[in-house]
Amino acid sequence: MPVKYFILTNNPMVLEKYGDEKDVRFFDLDFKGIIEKGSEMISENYKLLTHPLSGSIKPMATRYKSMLFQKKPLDKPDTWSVKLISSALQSLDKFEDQSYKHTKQNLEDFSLVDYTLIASAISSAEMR
Amino acid sequence: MKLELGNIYIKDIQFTEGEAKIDDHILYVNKEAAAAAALGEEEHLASVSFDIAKPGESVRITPVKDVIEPRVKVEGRGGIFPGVIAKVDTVGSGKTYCLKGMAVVTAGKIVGFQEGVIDMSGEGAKYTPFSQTLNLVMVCTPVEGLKQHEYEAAVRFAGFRLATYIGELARDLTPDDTKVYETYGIMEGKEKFPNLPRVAYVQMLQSQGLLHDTYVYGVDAKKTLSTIMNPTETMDGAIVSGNCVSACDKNPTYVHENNPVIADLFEEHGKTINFVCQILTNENVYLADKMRSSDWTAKLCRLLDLDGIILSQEGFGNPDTDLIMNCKKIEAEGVKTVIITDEYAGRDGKSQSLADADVAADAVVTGGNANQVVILPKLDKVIGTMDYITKIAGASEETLRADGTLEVELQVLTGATNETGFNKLSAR
Repeated sequence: MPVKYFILTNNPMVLEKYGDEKDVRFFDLDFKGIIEKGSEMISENYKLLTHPLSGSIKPMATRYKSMLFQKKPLDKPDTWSVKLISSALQSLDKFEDQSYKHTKQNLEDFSLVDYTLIASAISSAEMR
Repeated sequence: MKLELGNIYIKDIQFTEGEAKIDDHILYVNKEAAAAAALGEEEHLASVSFDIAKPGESVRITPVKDVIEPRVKVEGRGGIFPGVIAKVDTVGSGKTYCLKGMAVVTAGKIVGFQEGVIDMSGEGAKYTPFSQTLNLVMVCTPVEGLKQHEYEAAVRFAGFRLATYIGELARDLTPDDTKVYETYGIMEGKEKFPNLPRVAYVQMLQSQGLLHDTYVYGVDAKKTLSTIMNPTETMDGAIVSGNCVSACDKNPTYVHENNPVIADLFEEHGKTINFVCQILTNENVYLADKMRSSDWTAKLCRLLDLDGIILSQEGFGNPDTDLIMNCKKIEAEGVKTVIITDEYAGRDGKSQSLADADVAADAVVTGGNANQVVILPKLDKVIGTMDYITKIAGASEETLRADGTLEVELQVLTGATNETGFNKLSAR
């Protein structure tokens, strides 16, 4: 059965494309900030449905990240979600924050790639 | 399934105003004819331009998209790149000629942060395997206003068309040497090698979305279930790359055609192992997809009664999770598993290497630390553009130094830490 979900994102393109029809929770945070926000959601018992390090663009090179969460919280934090987000946060420390230096065009490209990655997850979640 | 690979060694590439041909191991390329072949009926590319880069020259190619070895199918079913260039038909048997010592390299800016550097000389050349090939480089210019995904697809197909066109020039030649690769049916193999351990190659294919795609017989691997294949099919171009990022540890099409895991398993086939088959699985973004694909891979390993597998990853981060899930589940089926990965262990090499780990992953081969810093010399000529060199992963504002040298991490160099072992790093 298709899963009920919400999208956690700092990507304006994801908000623009899905904002009207889906539950998009947009936060104007940097890359690390949005991963930390994801970690907060997990501690509030929301189950992560996508990998927080999706994409082979190196963490901290891009500015944008979108993640899917199951809409209905569980009774306690999901252990796999905790493990994935902790590993992701640990990985970030290995990379220098390069997101500040990108041109407008680069940011648009990063935004597009993040949007297509989450679109691929949405089609899996909705079984389309 | 039996495939005969005939190698034709190319010793030089030259442009000609006359007829394109291969004569006495020299490839003569007519730019006009090559452009017509590459463009075909493509409406998204305004033009293509060609250049030649030779080992040892002071040349840098960037940003590199794909690297392809031209091949031509001269006997047997199907054609090269089935489902993409040739019509869909099962390949992997008959006779195929390979143009060794050369490659078609596609270059051009698709997105602003795109990486991929091939240096033909200097320090960088020591790390990218494609510093050793004679490279026919094609830079593609899009029509005005073209979207990134359309541009990516247009360059991908143009590269395959050009490689197929070049491969066709070898159709009537006689190979310099020939090697035969043969696999057997499940029962047949068991009867032939009753006492040899049954081994398969499990290959994880990058399949996360735009700029991160791989195609099997023309199908986007993202939408596939884990499946089995004859490894000789891969040698005929059944798997092609659509990846633009993660230069150091992505598999360009050339690596699929020349996958060293397959080559090495064939070397031992019938001697120390029974190389049963290749298993393909994907690396998706959605966690339930990861569960399904890794369950399926483990199930196939059990169904095939395997004793051991080699598991190779593509990319980093998200795929680390698929790697460990596959490893854990396959080991749990009693099948010995060796994984091939690379590492992002920080510039000093002291950080945790992978984004996931498990005790079942107790046999690991590494392609190297992608965060390792190298200094690349200033080279005389650039094919493509250096406009983005400070923006790509593994580079920074300090990358371009006052003396013209570049300080970068290995991850910018195409193939530097490849996770099939198609790279030059070793611990020897």
